[in-house]
Amino acid sequence: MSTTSSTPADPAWHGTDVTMRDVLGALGQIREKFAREEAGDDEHAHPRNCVMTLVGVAANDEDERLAQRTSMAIGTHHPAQAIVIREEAPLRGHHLDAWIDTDVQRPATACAVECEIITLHVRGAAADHLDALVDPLLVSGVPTYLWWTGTPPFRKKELLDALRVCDGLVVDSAKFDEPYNSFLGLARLLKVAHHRLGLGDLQWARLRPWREMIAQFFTPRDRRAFLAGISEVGVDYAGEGRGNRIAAALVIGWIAGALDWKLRRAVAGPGGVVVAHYESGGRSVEVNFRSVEKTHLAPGELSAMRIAGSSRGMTFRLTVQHDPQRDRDHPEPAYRTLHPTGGEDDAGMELAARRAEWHRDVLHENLGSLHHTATGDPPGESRPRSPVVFRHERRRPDSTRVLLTLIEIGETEPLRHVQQVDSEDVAALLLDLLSTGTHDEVFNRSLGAAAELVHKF
Amino acid sequence: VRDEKVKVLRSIRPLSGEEIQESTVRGQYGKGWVLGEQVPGYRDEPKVAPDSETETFAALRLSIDNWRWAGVPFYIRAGKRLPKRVTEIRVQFKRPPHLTFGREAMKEVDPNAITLRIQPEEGISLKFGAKVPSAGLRIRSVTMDFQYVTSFLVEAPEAYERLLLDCMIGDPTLFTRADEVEAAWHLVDPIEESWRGGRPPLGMYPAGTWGPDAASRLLQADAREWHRP
Repeated sequence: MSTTSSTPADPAWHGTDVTMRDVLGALGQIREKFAREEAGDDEHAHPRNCVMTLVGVAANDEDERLAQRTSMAIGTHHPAQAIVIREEAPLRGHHLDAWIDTDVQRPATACAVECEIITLHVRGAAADHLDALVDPLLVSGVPTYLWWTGTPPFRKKELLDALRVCDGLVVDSAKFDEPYNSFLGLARLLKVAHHRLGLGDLQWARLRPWREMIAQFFTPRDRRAFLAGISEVGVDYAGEGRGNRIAAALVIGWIAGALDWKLRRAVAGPGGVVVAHYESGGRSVEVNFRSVEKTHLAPGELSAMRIAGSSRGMTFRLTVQHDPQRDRDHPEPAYRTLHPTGGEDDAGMELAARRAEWHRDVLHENLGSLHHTATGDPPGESRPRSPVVFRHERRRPDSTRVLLTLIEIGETEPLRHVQQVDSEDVAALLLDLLSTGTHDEVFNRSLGAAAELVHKF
Repeated sequence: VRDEKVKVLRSIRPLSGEEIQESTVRGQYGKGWVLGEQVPGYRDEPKVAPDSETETFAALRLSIDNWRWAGVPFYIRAGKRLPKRVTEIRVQFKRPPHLTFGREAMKEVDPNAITLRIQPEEGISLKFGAKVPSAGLRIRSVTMDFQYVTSFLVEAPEAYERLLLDCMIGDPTLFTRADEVEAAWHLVDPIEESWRGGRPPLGMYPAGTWGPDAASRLLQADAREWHRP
């Protein structure tokens, strides 16, 4: 699509305490109105375009806005129907509030297309029966993807019921509340969900630069033999505990699955290091997982990877580092040099703002221990409910987009390569997953191998 | 038109004995969720016996013994309290014996199909495989859609509106003739008789689902599955 424009008179509808019949009725009217408006003088209007139904399940305001924004961003280029479902606290006699928003795009050289976003706020037990809400809205003949922005209830039968009407489930394992258990729950879906269901993980999409870097190292023909000579792999990750080793496990699962490594055991070593032992072709491969403190990385993010070994008398070492030279000294907070001024003047307000910022910093620094106190969970086992605000602040877009690759082969001088990695825009990541139909054999194999490893943690 | 309908009905191979067990499914809905609302099971509905054996769902596999449809299985399902109200006919094409792009590339491709939607959104859609626009060779299913409402921008008359008009102008085309009724009952009677005897047994399904598990197994036995409307 080239030039597009949005009409100011996009139809929209809102109903409070309505039924799904009301929503379906309103949707039918909106579609008919769109068809009539677009027909103009030519009575032979075009059919409604729709490439998929994207169902987003949001747990809070922020996730709901994210789902709406992302659906709109995707719908701009790929006419789709999006359904955003948000569970609300039960309210007697009040079950469903609904909104229908549309965005009309008019490409210069093609007929207009409409993206529909249906937002449902569901109360009570109806929220547990997503399939009953979603099924009547689905467009026949196009795939349906369920994007769960938080943690799906992997242990509930209702999830499997909801998945029956879907072709794919997309999650973000980096945002799971209980990463360890939830990740294993995700992997379990490979066995228990219906055979046509595809699985996608935004964290897997985020790991693409790492996978590409590693794959590129072994791509030249003269380095292929190195694959069979890998003897040692190291992964550094931010945060502590087994829940923060998920991304690391996914990358190792990817390598292990591709090279047919068999996991023998995983043991905890000194200093929080966990060592996994694989066997491949009679050789032993040791994988070290090491927790590192990197304040600019979110818990669970990869910090560095090392792959070393030898083949035909030639040693090799590949090192990939995230944001290698961006460790900055945090400046002394300005509030400490200021004297309290009191009053409601500008200076006083600024001081108050700075104090608030400092308080937030302190809260952030102590987030892990506060959460531990509140839940009793060991580090990494579960995550604070709303850590996103902190994570976003900790990520600096200018400093988290760089991967440094060091290649050492034999006695030659190390090769150094710095690469800027793509943005982690959710819409782009999601589209990346949906474009494969969420049926990615490589991901499935990696997920299975990673779950086997995570289980040993 | 009416002659042809009778000819088709007479060409359907009647089911008997074991065939009825293997080729038919009967079901009754229990409590469940439809359109986001909890609904009672059939036996909990007003004026229904608590031990009622009345079917609210039926699925059949039929064969038509004529030149055109020889060897083509026809699967029919109908029921109450399904996830949505929809009537459609789907003609699913066979996979060709040779897959030009290989099995791996064609993995996500459904069989090509033409769907005739009777209601709602009357129209026709054609489903076929198209190459995914990327470097690799992968094929995915896509649809071409035709809808009456968007293509002609005129309201289709209500079903009974048309029939009443035909009645007034004396056009019997859409009316059922006596021999058609008899031919239909000739097929249904043995099935009903077998069902009264509990063969096959009544399968329960939660309201808001697409029928009992036996309905899925009916197609799985032929390495097929129901299309999701």
